[in-house]
Amino acid sequence: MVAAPLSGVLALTSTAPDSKAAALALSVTRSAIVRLAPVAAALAELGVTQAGWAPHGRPPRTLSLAPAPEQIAHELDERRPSVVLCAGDGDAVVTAARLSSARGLPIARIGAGLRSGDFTDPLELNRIVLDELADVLFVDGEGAAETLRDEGFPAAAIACVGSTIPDAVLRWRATAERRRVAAGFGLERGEYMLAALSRSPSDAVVDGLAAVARRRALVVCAAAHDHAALERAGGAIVVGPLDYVDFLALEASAAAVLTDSSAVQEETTVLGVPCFTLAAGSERTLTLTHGTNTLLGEDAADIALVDPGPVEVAPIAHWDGAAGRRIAAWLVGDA
Amino acid sequence: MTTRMTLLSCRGDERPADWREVATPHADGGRIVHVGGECDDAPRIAAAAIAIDTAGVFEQLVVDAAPESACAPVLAELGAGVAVRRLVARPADALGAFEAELSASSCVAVVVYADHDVALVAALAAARRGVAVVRVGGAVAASGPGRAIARLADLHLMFGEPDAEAMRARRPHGRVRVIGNPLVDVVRRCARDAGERAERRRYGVSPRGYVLAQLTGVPEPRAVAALARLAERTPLLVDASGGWAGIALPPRARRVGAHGVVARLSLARTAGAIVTDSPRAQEEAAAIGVRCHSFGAAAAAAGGATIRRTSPGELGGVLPRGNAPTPCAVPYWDGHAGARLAAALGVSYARLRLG
Repeated sequence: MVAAPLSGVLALTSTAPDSKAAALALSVTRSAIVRLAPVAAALAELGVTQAGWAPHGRPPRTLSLAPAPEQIAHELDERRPSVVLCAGDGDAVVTAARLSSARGLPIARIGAGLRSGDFTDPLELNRIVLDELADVLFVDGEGAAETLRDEGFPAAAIACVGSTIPDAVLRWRATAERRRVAAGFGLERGEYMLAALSRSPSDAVVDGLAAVARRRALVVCAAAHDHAALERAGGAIVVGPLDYVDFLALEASAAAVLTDSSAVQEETTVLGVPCFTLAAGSERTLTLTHGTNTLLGEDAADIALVDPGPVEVAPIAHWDGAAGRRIAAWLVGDA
Repeated sequence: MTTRMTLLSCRGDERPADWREVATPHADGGRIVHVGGECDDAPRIAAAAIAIDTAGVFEQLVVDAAPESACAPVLAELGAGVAVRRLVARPADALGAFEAELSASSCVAVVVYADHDVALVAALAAARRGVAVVRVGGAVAASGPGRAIARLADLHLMFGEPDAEAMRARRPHGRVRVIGNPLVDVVRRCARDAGERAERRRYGVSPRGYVLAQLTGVPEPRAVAALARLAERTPLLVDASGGWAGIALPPRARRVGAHGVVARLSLARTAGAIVTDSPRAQEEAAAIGVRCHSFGAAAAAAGGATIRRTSPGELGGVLPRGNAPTPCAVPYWDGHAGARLAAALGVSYARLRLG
């Protein structure tokens, strides 16, 4: 899944007379859409009618809604949701959360308490601000909950529900594997490595990928505006952005994945595929301690030497494909 | 070039002196950026800016992001000779605009005076640029922006010791200081002018014979109805801004026009009672000694003795009273908060010369 620089607003409004939930979910990147999709699906199961969401909770390839802040403000004013769900940590979600907070609307944050420890990273500051703006903090594991408690957040505001990424992966994995997307590129399962880039790559990353491509089949999935820069990566197959299920198919069949995307770090852990993160740090620490993730950095020489080996995956509590249901149950029961 | 004062002279607490407090700061200490997000920020900024200018350690800039450039006229009225730059940006662009502003200057600290959205954006932009964030205020509000600003702040300059104690439980002790309330500096500075002005004469009301409603927040229907009842019983002057500006007044109430800080204080000091949803108005009332009835979510414990928390529906029962309470003596509300603020900034962020 490649997080294209898209913005979207997902409106979840209740029409069920016996439901207390009237939620407005702000998902401002495709990554955030994937995280919210299981919640939307679970809310649908509970009879909460939702507007602006793809059928069956499937993450869309593109978003029909790209609202300006003024439009988000209008939606908030018109719908007056009982709670606003936020996922992601980009500037756009900070803006959306500020608009919600300024209107006195309660905010529930999915993926709270994640910290990379790198305060020079704007996203780390965004995560802190978003957590502080939130009234309810859904965390992916006990480590994030402990982080929040250490930072002074009240325990009552923290709900350990797990990550919603496994929900989406487990829901769509079988469909993805039937598609045989890799075969369309003339590749077999385990024969290639996949690079999933959500940001424009640095020269060092491109050099490293070029070195990988010289010794092994490499598929690079990136935003269209980065394709020209990636031409230097020699024999790599450059694609993207892809439909979520198509990307999941490529990911599941890869020998290893190199990525700068936090969602991909979690997806590969669920899939059991080795993952090498092209950054000096990661806030997705559970994927490092229990999953398949390795911090690689952005040095070309390190990237060039990547060699997928066997990985051991430890079960992660609450990463069972039911996080969306737990969040939805909270919303319907307590929102 | 060095300054004409040492930082020791402005110490406001009992901490033991360290070498930084007896050193002499250079005058080229960089730039302090004050953030104005609403009109009520301006008096506090003015007190701070005047004191910093006296200390001579830093250059200063006020970024005025308040609606309709509300800060600049107040700063001019109060004699704060500080550069003001207007910043107008959509919500999505505000962060980038603040970052650009900070990157264009040798800013060493961004000072925010409230827990509103503009202050949050400025604090986040500063944190991203590696610029220190200074929060001036009382207790950390329950609001999300207040909590976020407190998390990003490097230095917490608190209005009083109880607030500081609460903050020290959450933040390093050395980064929490008590300076008092800069707004009170302005109230004291303007007291004589406000008294001589006798603004009440413009409205034909007698001293202690009227109620002044200072309304800045979001109108509550119960409060609107209560004001109508109040206007039936007593002369009522209404100073409305924000969401209240568009509310139709009761027939017998009189709207107070835009008139500046001194005129506002002049009306407040001769009022028989003040009803307000504004923390700023509560603090001013506490400092000048006028009975104040606060309502709404913004009710603040400002000074204590003269503030009564009143439900919006009870406002109709407020009556002007002739026996004005004694202005409460709040520790650190002594008119020197600005000086302590300037000293704290100097100790924390100025370049120093030993000896």
